[in-house]
Amino acid sequence: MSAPPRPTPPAIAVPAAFAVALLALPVVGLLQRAPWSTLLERLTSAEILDAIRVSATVSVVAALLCLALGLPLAWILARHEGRTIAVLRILVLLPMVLPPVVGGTALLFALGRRGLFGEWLDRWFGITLPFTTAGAVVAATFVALPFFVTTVESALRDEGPALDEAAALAGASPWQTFVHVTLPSLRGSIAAGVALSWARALGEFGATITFAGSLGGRTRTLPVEAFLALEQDPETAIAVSVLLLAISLSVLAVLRGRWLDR
Amino acid sequence: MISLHGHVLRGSLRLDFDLDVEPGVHYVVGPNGAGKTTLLRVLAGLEALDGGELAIDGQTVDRPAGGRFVAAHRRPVAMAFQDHRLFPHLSVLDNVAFPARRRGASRHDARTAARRHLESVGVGDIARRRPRELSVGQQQRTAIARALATPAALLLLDEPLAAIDDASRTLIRSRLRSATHPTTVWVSHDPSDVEAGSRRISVEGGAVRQTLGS
Repeated sequence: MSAPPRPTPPAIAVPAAFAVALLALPVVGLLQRAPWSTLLERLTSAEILDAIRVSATVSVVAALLCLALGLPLAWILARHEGRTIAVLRILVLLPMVLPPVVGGTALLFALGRRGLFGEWLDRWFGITLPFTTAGAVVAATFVALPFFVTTVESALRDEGPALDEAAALAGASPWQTFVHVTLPSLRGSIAAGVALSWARALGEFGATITFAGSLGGRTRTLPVEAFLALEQDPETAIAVSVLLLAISLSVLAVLRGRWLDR
Repeated sequence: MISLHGHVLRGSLRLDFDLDVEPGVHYVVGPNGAGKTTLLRVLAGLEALDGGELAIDGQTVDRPAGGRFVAAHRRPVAMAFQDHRLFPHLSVLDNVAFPARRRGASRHDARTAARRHLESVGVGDIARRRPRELSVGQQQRTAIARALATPAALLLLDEPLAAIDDASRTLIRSRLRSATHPTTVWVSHDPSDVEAGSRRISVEGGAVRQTLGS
């Protein structure tokens, strides 16, 4: 059994078609300019391999940080209410709407060597974040965290307190409930959150270049590499872009199977 | 012995409790929306009293005036929810083994006991399935088995037979009446659940109190 076809009014179909064109044309434009014959060669040059290594390290560590820090935060946001929680939620969403360059600048003034907290990090622990791989990780985590927290928080909210209550009445403490019920019953959403935050961290550019710069082998990630190559070696920039496009599409394909279809 | 004297406020509604519940099976009767489930949630520790005191076996577990509130997981209470609330990531067997596992039982011992509880409510054959693969009736029996497998002084049942087919009701009903928990508080809208001459708790017009069975 299937629903009978329903005609789509032109007033809806035409703008929708423009929207599809806007989304699809850049992809087509990129693919038709891609240097397919030399793609592999370009992507395996020493410089690009360095950028791939930096990007892999930064994005994986950032995604793991999102998991470690974002999961407790999502739990608190989903399970509590009030003004403080409302303010926290705005704070969590802020990096999503903030221009990444502004985020990078803010990080510089907070965690830079002469920043509000960076000065103490430097003096007490000898930790310097700007223009280091660790700094690139901080910048990527800053922009990726909202993707993890909002994904997991909405799953926690959908589930509601019903299973927590059932676990409590079976004698489970709040911590046992978190470990034995909440985490395993949300593993699909947690995996989706990790994938989304990893993809966002991988694509991060503005905050990274502002806060961590573009030191080859240390902070020069694939998007930074693509941007810098665009002037001198556009073919390489396109090759890197095709690689990032392929990775993004793969993430979406995985998410679609595990999560988006539900 | 459960002693509950006090009240809860829900918006403009007020529910007054005046109960001294002896060991045995007590049926909670009253119209829909009167507060039967609220009574269970107050006993369980899922809702707090706004005034008065609740004591279970002589231990005060809720007394707002004294700032005392014992959380649900620390109360000697087991509950079968009307909407089942099975853990979706666990098999039926591990759902029922869950209470014993949280109390430190080995996986083997907890599962052995769980299998026995599932068999006692007539669903020993679904132990390996996941909750999403069950009919509503099977889900309800699993929820009952999980409550029966939770050692506690007080067993709370919220419409435990609502989704059970007629042919099995007699079995489950007698199984619930013979539960090892010293006290059972059983919410039901079905007069045939209620034994003749049994003790009853009526929830009506904002008052919760004992009435004599007829």
